[in-house]
Amino acid sequence: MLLWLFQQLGQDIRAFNVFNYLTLRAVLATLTALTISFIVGPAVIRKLTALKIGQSVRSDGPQTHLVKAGTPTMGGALILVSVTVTTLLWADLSNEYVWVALLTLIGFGVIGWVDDWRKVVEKNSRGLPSRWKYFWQSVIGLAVAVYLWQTATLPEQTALIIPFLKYATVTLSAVGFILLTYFVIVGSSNAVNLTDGLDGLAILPTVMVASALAIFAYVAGNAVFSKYLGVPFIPGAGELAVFCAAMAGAGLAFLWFNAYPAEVFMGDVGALALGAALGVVAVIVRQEIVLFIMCGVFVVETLSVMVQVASFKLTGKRVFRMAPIHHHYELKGWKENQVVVRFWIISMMLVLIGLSSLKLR
Amino acid sequence: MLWRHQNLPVRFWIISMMLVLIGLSSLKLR
Repeated sequence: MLLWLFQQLGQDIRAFNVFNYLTLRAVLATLTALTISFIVGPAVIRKLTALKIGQSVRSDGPQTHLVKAGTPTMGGALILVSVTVTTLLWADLSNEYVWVALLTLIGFGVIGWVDDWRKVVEKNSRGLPSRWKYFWQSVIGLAVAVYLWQTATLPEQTALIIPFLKYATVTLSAVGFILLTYFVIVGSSNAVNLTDGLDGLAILPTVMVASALAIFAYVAGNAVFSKYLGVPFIPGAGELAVFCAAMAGAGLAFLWFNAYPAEVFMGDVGALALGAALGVVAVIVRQEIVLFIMCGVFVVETLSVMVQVASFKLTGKRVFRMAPIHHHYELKGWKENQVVVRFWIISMMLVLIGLSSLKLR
Repeated sequence: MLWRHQNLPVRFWIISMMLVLIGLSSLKLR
């Protein structure tokens, strides 16, 4: 919106043309999202507390978590509002990728909102039944996949890029592309949701991955840089840098309130939406494998639940003391803060490995 | 209760991270 305004003003006053630069708008998007969340955050927390939108803590979880009962949840709505407003302000709204990312974020946010609302407001412990949750996630995931396939005009827009190898691409069929896109979006959405179990555990890795994806989006959307670094050139993908920068800013401000001891939790409304948004950006910039590496913490959390359930069903034995794996380490004696900060460090290392794929190929 | 001593470390990291970002942006913004 502001880009359009400044372009109009730029016809008379040349100084306004500086806002055409993507990097400047990305930096401003981070600052805008941070500011919005910092200003609105305390009011949102007070409102959620007044409405008694308190998280119910799983009774079979670690005993140390029982004190968290009553901490307001659904704080993810703050992130969503902040990212949406910031993107509408700073991104080029004639860019279709911006709308795909924004609608995915909001769509998954609505699913999470309904689930949270039923759990904490209507006190229905099942929330949105999981088959309905997966159904609506699948509807949005498949719709995005089909749209991206239909609107792709270049072969690079639908090929699977193998990182760390020069010119290594796998051409995907329509079914292959749609299935891969579906799994990346729905998978990352649920993975972030599973990870969101300790104060700050899900949000900082999300911020780090979003920042890295902003760099990937900027490079993929720039003809010169993409050619130099040997990554596919996706015209228009650069605008996603603004969207990712907004996610990073809003997420960082959310961490302010979510840091141990948390004053607010993001809830499904935040976790499902942020995960899906990371997935859809990775699909558009053709970095699904790099996303898998950078989201290693989310992947391992998800695998730990799958292994635990499979092992218990097949052999009656548990592999971990408790799943997801962050509870396993808590029960082994690590303090909550230690688990969180150590997982952040691992995440940071994985993001650096992912970023190194830009140059190492 | 926006300032509890236990969440000070993370908040100081966030402030520090913002300052680093501002520092880095000087590469481009001039």
